[in-house]
Amino acid sequence: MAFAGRTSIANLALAVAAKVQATIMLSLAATGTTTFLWLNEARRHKNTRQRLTQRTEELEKRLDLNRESSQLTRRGTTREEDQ
Amino acid sequence: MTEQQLANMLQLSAVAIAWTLIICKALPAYLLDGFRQKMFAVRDELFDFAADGNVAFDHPAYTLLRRQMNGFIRYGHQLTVFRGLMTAVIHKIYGRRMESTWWDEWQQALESLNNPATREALEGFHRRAMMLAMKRLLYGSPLLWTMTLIFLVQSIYQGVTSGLMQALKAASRKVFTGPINDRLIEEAAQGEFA
Repeated sequence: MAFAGRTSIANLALAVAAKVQATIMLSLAATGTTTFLWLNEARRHKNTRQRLTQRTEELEKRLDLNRESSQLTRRGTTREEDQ
Repeated sequence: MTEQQLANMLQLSAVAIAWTLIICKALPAYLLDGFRQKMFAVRDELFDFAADGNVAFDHPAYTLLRRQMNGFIRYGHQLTVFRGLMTAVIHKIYGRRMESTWWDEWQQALESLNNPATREALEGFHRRAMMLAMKRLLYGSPLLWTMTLIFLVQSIYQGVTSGLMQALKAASRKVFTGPINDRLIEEAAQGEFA
């Protein structure tokens, strides 16, 4: 008796899952994987920017003492106060 | 609601969420990053140009150009048609004139350069930066995309409907008047009534 409600929900979920088209599920899975990879790549890109920007800035300041910055964050993103 | 309808709704919801995330988050971030990267590349080239001794780092032409590029990079996220229109409307409402002394200062700074080749090169850097900003203004505006899409769909629809109407008219003219000789019909009618 305690499983009565749960089993009907599980049955419904299984029945709905069986109706979902495999091609659409595969497409969604491909989209999800691609999005994950892209987000990971973007994060790595930001980390690389953070690592290299300081070096460029120091080198440029040796030649241009009054060097002005773009005022982005070290990761190359918009500062919160500029949003 | 049947199981099939529920499954369809789930699929549609997943696709709608995915597209919303792409249009509202991923694509704008991608376009902004691309714009900034290109502007940084031009700014780096300008730095190298000055480092090669073509123009002094403290010359107004260099500082003005670099400052402008920095401004584009910093406020690139605000470079959209919608923001531009809103700014223009606000200025209009409050009766403020959109004035900038940048252009006059830039012209003066260019004139103070003795070497025409340097002047031309700096104008080239300026042109490239402005072109990037213009492209950003056009491509980075969801409002403009929507308006363009509506305009395109409407134009295509109008073109298709007017084309169809013309084709139908031409076809009906051929079908109803082409093979039938009006004179023969009139003669036959006269014969019947005679």
